[in-house]
Amino acid sequence: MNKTKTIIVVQLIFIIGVVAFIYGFAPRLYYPTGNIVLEDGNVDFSFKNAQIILIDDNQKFVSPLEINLENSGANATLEPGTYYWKAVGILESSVKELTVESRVGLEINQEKLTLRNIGNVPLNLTLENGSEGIVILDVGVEYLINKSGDYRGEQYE
Amino acid sequence: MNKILRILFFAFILILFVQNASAIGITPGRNSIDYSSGEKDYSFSILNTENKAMRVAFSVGGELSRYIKITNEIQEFKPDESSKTFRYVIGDMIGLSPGLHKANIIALELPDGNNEDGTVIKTSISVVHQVYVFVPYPGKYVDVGLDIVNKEEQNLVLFYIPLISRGEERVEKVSAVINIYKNYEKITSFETTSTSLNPSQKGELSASWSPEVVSGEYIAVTEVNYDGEIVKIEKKFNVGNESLGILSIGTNDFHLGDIARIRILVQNKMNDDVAELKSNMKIYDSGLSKIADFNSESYEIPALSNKEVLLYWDTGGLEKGDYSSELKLNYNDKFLNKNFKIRVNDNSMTFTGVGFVIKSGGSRISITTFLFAVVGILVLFNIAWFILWMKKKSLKKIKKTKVKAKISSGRAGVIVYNKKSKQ
Repeated sequence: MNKTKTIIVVQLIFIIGVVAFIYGFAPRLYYPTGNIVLEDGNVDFSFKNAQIILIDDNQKFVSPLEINLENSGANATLEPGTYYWKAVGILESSVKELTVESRVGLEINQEKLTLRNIGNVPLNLTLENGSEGIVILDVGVEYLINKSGDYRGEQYE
Repeated sequence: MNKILRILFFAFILILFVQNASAIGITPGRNSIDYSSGEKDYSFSILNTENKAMRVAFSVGGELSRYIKITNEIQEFKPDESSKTFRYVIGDMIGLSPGLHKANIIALELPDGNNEDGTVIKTSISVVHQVYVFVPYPGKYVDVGLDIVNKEEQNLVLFYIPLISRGEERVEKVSAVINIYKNYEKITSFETTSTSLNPSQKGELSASWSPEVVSGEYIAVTEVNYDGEIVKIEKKFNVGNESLGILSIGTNDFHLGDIARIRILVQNKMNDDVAELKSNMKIYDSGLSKIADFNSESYEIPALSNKEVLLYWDTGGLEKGDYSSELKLNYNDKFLNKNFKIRVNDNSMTFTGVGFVIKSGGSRISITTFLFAVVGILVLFNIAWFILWMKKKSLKKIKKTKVKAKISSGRAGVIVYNKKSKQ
């Protein structure tokens, strides 16, 4: 009877050991997690026990952006939108969601008479309360204005 | 004299004001909402990117403006307020037709002092927070798109069809057939993957094609079928040599500690000139920390020709060892990314991985894989041994009971015998 007890205890210890071993190698995601909303598209991913990050705009990862840590750092520049990401090592992690928020920004230089898109999305630039379409202004691009008025910037499709 | 000084001072302030750039930001730029009944609260933030005192006036425009209420009409910003969040309420939108409905919340930066001296400020800027409300279509309805990616190195064209279910009902099966045309003549057709979609859910279909056709422009006509409803979408794309290639990368006469002259031979495979090519290289150490980031000058590469692009890396303080790198070529509003392994020795710098992305590990078995294999084998042995042990134990038990039964039946026999003998 004592022998049986010892064997069962050893078995239990072995099973716990194996589970702990596998758990120890499972990828763990630290950042970004918890359906986080980010203002900046330059995302530094933080995780453990993985070599590859997969990022996609759908949960099935049909066309993921693959970041192999052997070749580059654990960061990516994402355009505004909602993304799903997971880390892949020996095992695969759970899927986390993150959103990069769009930022519409317009800067006017009264001296040079220029407008610049200081946001992170292309802008549809209009004049006089949106009635006159002027140009699609890409991120960081400057536009020379040739007449005064009310200039409005809104996110382009 | 004082008067002149005062005028000069105000003139100086005016010049400063005129020269200063003025800026305003709003985030998010768009709030996309799925229609639901009842009042709901949302918010947006105004960014005071220059950390200055400013006044912002809010107004609401567009089709849905009558449903939107915003509490602040004019808001003051102090220089230490880099952003402020504002709430707005969207009322119960009854009677909206299916589809997309829009409204704009406009934030106008009010120029300073326009009321004091009566001057008319000629130029002002405003930014918009767009409110998009999607009212579901009755039944099933799917919005589709088409993205085509040309993987030239692998001779593959990848097709991705993003989907959004905009109907009230669940779509059981969405799939698509992609037909490829050249000069209105059908070349081939193939099927994509399939999926199902709940209302408001996003999804994606995909397919890949290995073209065995001449280079040039083709048209993909895609027929998306969702539970019997067909949506057609078409797009032009290119097959074959259309971009740049890297023929070689290396250094000459390298000595650790010097400035390494990295020579990259770039091939222009296009029929058009590359007017401005700039390259950037990032170097990472074994801990994946970026240790160098440097750019090349601008180069012009004529059509169908090669050009040597030079990059300079200061290796002062660098240690011998293996590094990874990422090379980016920017041209014609496009870019090409390549990854290389770099081995740095005292008198040599070697690059591997030209023309392809280095696979992690390759056929090498890592220590963790080996450990997992060992644990797996141990688990299997243990299970097998445990089963055998249990069987053995149960056999022993059966044997013991049989023996016990025999013994007990033997004793009974003796008793009977004794009884009989007594008689």
